Amino acid sequence: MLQTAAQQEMDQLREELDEIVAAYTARMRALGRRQDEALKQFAHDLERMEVQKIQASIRDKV
Amino acid sequence: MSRESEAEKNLSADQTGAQPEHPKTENNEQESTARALAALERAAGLIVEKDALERRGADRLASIEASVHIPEDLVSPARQRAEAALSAVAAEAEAEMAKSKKALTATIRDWADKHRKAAMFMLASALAHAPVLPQTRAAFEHVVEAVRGTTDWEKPNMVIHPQSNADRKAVTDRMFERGARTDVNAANAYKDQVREKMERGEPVSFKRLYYDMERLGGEDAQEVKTAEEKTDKLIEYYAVQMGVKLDEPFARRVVMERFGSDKDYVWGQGSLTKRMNTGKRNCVSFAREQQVLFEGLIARLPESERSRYEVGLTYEKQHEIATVTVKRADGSIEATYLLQPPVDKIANGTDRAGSPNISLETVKKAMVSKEAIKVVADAKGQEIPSSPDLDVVTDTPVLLNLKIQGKLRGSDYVQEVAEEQGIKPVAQEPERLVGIQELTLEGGYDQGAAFGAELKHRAISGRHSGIIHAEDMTNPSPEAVAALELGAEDGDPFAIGRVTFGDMSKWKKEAFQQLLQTHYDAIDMRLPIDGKMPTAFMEALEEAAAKKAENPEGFRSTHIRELNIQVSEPGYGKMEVRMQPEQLKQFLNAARDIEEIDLGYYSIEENEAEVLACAPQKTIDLQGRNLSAKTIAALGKGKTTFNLHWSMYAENAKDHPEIVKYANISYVIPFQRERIYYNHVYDILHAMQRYFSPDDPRLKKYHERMNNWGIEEEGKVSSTSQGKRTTGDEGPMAVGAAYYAGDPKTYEYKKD
Repeated sequence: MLQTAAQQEMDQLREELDEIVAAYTARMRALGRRQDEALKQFAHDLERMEVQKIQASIRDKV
Repeated sequence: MSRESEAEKNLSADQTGAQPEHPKTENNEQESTARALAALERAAGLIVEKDALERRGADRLASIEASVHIPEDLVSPARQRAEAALSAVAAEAEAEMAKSKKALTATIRDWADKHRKAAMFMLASALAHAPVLPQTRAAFEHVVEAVRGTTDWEKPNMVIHPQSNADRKAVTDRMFERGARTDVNAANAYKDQVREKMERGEPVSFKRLYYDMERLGGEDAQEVKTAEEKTDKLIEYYAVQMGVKLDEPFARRVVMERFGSDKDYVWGQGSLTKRMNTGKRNCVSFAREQQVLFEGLIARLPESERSRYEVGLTYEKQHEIATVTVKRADGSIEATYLLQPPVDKIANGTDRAGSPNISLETVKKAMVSKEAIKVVADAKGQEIPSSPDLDVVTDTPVLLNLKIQGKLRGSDYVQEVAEEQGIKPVAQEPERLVGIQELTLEGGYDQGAAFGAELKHRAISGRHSGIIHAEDMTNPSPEAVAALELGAEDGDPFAIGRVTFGDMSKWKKEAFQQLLQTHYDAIDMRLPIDGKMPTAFMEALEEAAAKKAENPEGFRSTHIRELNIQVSEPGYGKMEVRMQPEQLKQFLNAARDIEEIDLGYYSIEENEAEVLACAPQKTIDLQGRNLSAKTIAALGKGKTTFNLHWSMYAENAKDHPEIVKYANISYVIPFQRERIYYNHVYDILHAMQRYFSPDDPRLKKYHERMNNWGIEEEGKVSSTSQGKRTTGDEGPMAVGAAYYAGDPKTYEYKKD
């Protein structure tokens, strides 16, 4: 299909913009993974505390 | 038909509402436009992703915490750690978003610049969709801005005012409050001590130096101590995590974590002590924190690693950023990181065009140096675009004593912060010609360094003034004097020609020393009625001239070319003011590097004339009472040119016509032609006619001058005054012309 100059130009803009958005999205995803790690660590810390709490409670009962 | 003209035709058809020749092509174009607009919409939606990321983090943190039943005191430390990690992620997301937005805007603009017609077409299409979706509206704004071309941030003569009047007042009040505690003498003694230490090659910690200088600059000693303790803990905290290598992810994380939220940004907060104690920062205090922190971290690395890293400071226009440069094993530069989000990296170098980088060692040296260290902003062959001036008052207890020359690149960061806060640049008053506008600095500046920044701000606001009136600076600190020098940051240190000071008798020598280093062309000073020149000034002059004598090939000891001395109290009494001959001699000798001295309203007697005749200056201007014949003869012996003020010369020519014989005694022609009185013109003419033959070139030249003034020679009555009877209301020239139309030798004229 024959493209006009304006079509080509607009498609070129779309490609460039999409590239930037894609790079941004990828970086956000990476940051999302880092966020997950921090949250996992937090969950792990709490879990450990809860286990310690249960162990202490058992010790008290024994 | 070419593609371009086809597009043009379709565009024009669209605009006029006429039927396009090729409906199918138009449909294709509409599809392309829709696709491009959709891309713009996605781009405009960047903020959604960032917000979603932050919201998700906070929600999940709350949900994890809610799923367990652990006492608050146990949960708290873990939560704080998690929140700090989430904040760092959020700060990076924010920085990424800003970076991407900038890239998008630049892309759209480049595209719109290259393809104006397509951009117009897209604008029309976006406009058609605009009422439908908010996202499209954002896209529309992007295109509008792109098509419009230059943004306000790139126009010359723009200024941003980010502080409200209340903000400015709060900063100024704090500066005054801190300024009252400034100890200039102790600060100078401390600087001398550190300078000597550095000259001996002993290491000096930047952290130690900076906190000491903040304390001496008036920061509360206890607050400084607390801030330093916090700094030490911070260094310790990060040093443990750093391990044996300072790598890029670690540096990035430190910056992101320490930067905090946008709410912490306070335009006027330039104190490191306050930064550490309150968390509030501007670019100065944050850069300082990063310099101190990275200096401490590098010191904690294994000895073999330390030399690979160097802390620095880079400048943008009215903005500064700490840097860390990493070197390869062979000593070449691997990269420099800007220690401010998003932690930009300069590969294989230390600086960018229009943004010089200064090593921490140089900064330390400048801080304790008596003379400012000059740094040149290298444009690296590029054209540095204009950027708005930042009109802001900052409280900075320590001035680094660096003078940046050349055009600096505008700061993207300053622009981003301003945009986030909804502050737009506005047009500044157009530049005025040098010499037209005058700036008057009011208020006391006696208390030292703290006023420097405020003064500088006010002075910069009047940067295009020709004359500054600083009569209220009765006992300024050297910093305040340095701050007075305008335009130097903009690479135009000669923007200001003249500064008028008032009573300088209380000025300290350090302040005079600083004054001699400024780039003003002319200084006006006033002496007390006893005519006594401040000893501190003479000492400063003498020391500067002596130093110059050691290095005759170097620069002059002062940039000041003209010194105009008046007395502080106007009135008749000033005519009687005399500087004692001995002091006059001492002063002229000390001021030997100042080419021109204007002694206003001094009585010059024979003994003073003997001293003046031996003066080392090229030119001395004199105003005051008539001279005696002996005084004239004494002056005539000298090599210096004496320029008498016009009326004084003319009156002397009448009483002592021999004055015209002396080639080195001349007169200053009044700037305003109305002040050239006929009687004075003829007094000088008569004196010259008495001593010079009609063919003498000096007499011929004087006739030419008279012609230029429109004054005809005696006996050849001017056509404008011939036959007219004067009333005395026509002004001095008309009156003079009429007098001299008669017999000049018999008429007793009144003195003007």
